[in-house]
Amino acid sequence: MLDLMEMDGDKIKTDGEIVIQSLNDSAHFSILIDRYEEKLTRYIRRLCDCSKEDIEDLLQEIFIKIYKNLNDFDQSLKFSSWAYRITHNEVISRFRRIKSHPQGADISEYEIKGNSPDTILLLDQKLDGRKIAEILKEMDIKYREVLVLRFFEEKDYAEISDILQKPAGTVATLLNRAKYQFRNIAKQLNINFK
Amino acid sequence: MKELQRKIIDQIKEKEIQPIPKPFFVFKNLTVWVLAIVSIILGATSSSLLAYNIANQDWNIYTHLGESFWGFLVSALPYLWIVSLIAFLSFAIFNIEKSKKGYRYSPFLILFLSIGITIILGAVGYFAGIGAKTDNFLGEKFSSYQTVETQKIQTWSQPDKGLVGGTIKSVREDELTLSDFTGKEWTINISETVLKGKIDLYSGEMIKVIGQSFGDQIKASELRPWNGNMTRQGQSFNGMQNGNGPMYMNNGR
Repeated sequence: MLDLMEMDGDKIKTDGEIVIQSLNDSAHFSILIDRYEEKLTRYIRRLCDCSKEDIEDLLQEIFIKIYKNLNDFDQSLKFSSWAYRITHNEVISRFRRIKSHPQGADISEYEIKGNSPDTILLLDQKLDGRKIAEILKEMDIKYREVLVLRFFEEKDYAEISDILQKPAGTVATLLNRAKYQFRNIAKQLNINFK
Repeated sequence: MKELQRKIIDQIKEKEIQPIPKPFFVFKNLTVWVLAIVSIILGATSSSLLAYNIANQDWNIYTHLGESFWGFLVSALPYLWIVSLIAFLSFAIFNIEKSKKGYRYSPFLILFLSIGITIILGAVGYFAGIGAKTDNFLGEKFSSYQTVETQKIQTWSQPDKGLVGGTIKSVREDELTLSDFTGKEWTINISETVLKGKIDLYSGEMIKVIGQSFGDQIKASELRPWNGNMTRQGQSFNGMQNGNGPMYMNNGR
C-alpha cells in the first residue's frame, strides 16, 4: 500500500514532496524510512563499531528526530544530505556521550564504489575490504568520515559540505589530508598499493 | 511494511509525536541573525569608542612622563574597548556560522566581512560623534567608568611632570594665567613657547601646557588646544601682539 502511495500517476514522488505529505499524515513518513533505512544503516556501520541492536536503536532515534524536525527541512537541500547530516550528528553525539571514538567496523561495508580520479588517487588499485577497514580504523574520525562520504557513499563535495556543515573548501582540504593520512597509515601497516 | 518502519510509525502514533512547528525554526534562525546583527552593532560601537579613545590620546607625551613609547602604549591602550570589540566580533561570527547556511561560507570570508563591516560602521560612528556620546553616556550612568575626558584631565593634572591643562583666565604680554581643574591658578610664561595645532589664546579657551613648574609658575615649552592630540609641527612663538583678536596662531591659518 505504501509503495502505491509513493506514486502520483506514473511519477514517483520526490523526497521533498513526501516530506510535505508526512507533515499532514505521519503514515507517509514510512516511505522516507523505506528509502533511507538501508543507506543510513550502511553509513552508521561505516562510521562506528556498533552492534546490530545499537544500530537499530540509533536508526529509530534518527528517524524520530528527522520526523520531529521535518519543518526544518530546507527544500533547497537534498533530503538525503539532510538525513545524512542528522545521522552523522547523532552518531557523533552518541559517542561523545559515552566518551569514546567511533571505530570503523564492518569490513563488508568497505567496498569502494565508482572509478573517479579521486578514487584512483586514493587507491592506486582497489584494496580488499578488510585492508581498507584496517586502515580506516586507525584514522582520525574527521578524516575517516570525509573518506566514507566521498568514496563509499559517493557524495559530491557540495553534499559532503551540507552533511558535515563545513564549507566546500574545507571539505576539499579535509579530503586531501585524509588521503595523506590513509596512505601513511597504509605504509605503517605495510599494506601495499601495488 | 518492514519491521523498523512499523516500529517507528507505531512509536510516532503511540507517543503522539508531532513535527516541531515551523514558526519555532523560523524564530530560531531569526534569533541567530538578530544576535549576529546586534553583535555587529555593539562591535561597531566598541570600535568607534576605541577610535575616540585613540584619537584623544596624546601619544607623544611619553617622554614627559619618563616612559618609553612601548611602556606608554601598553598603559594607554583602551583595553575595555579592545576586549569588547573582540568579544562582540567573535559572538557575531559564531552566530553567522550557526545560521542555517552559515557553514557554506569560508570562516575567513565571514571573519574578514565581519571585521570590515564593524570597522566601517565604527568609523562612521566615530565621525558621527557616537563614540563621544556613548563615552559620555557611560560616564554619566556608571560612576566607576572613566571617560576619555576624565582620563585626559588626569593626564593633564601632573604639574610635577610639567603637564597642566585648564582654562585661560587672562592673557598678557608674554604670560597667561591658567586655571587648572582643581581651580588653582598658574602663571604660564610663554616667551619661548611652541604652539601646536589650531590654538587661540583667548580668555576662556581650554589648553594644554607642557613645560616646567616652579611653585605656581610654569615655563611653557609647548601649548596645545585642549581638544585633539596635536602631533604636527607647530610654530615657535617669539613675538607678541596686543588687541582683541587671537593673539597667537599656528601656521596655515
